[in-house]
Amino acid sequence: MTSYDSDKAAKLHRELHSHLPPAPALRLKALETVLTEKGFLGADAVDMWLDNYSENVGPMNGAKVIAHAWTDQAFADRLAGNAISAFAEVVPSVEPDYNLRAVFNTPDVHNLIVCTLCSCYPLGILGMSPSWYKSTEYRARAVRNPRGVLQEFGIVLPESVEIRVWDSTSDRRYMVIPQRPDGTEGWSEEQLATLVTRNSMIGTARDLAPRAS
Amino acid sequence: MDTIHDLGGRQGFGPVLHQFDDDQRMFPEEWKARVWAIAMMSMSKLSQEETGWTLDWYRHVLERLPPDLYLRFDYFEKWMLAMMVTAIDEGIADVQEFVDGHARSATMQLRHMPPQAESAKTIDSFKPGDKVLAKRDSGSMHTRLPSYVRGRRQTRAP
Repeated sequence: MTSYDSDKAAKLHRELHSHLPPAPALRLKALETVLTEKGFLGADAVDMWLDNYSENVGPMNGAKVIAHAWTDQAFADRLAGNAISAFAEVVPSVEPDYNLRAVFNTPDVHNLIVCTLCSCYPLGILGMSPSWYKSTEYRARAVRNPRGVLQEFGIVLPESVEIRVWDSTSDRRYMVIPQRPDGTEGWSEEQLATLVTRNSMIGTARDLAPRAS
Repeated sequence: MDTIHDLGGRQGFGPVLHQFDDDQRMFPEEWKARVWAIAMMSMSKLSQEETGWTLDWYRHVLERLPPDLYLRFDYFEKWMLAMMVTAIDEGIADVQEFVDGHARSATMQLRHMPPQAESAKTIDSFKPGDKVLAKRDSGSMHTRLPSYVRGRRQTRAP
């Protein structure tokens, strides 16, 4: 039963940290072994869970949806209005009540996503976020100096381009819909999806270009 | 809670490092993938068992990491300690078992707590264009009102 005892949690953190071996791999072994021996986790449960996750969840889901939005304006409109129900048209396995909002880049608007309080991200759909997204540096600076952060990612935007920063909450997650690159007329959705990067769905990449393959 | 996790707008942090992770590798190291799987499975089990556990409480457990460790730890190191704290708080294991790396017994004390009434949803409390004044203070538990917004007047965006 959950105690909701905040000071108890703080005390346990200190106690555990001072007695556990420092190496993360050893801490993981202790966590996994104890929970399995207790019967709280089933044997092989971790491997099975990871197989399923890597098969069904990941940046490819977002890439497919974006490629579809680039080729079908009516779909793009549905994505703007109710992101998760539109998402489910392309990726039927998504949770139907996932609170997702799609924000669209235009020539005059650039969107950037952050979670300043923890590291909220559409994990159940787009998979694990990049390491930098969870870093203290990004979380601290994205809301205060988004142009500076974007420059570090190689994006220099004229002052005329408005930057909208979306601070995720525990209830709502965001994804950026980048603009379709020029020179991709006649491309299939499969080809277009290969252009979409994980960073572009967060807003730390803007101009997608056909990659040399 | 007002502690170090509330990072939005803080100054003095350096440039963002490692900007271009490999998109094909969701987890840069195997141990991180396993921590993630354990956490996700544990959370859904605690919810199913209705122990009273909530995601907001878990976020608060992360906030109670000592501030120096919070800043120094990798994301998944934070989650490992927070999962151990959670397991201990829920009666699944104790400190010594994690330190030993083995369970002394296969028994655990998972207790059911009748579901509490959820508080009213507030997401639609304001219409686009409404003027909003953010509260100045937050409570001592988890809040989604970051300090950079507190006390400010704004118009609700569309």
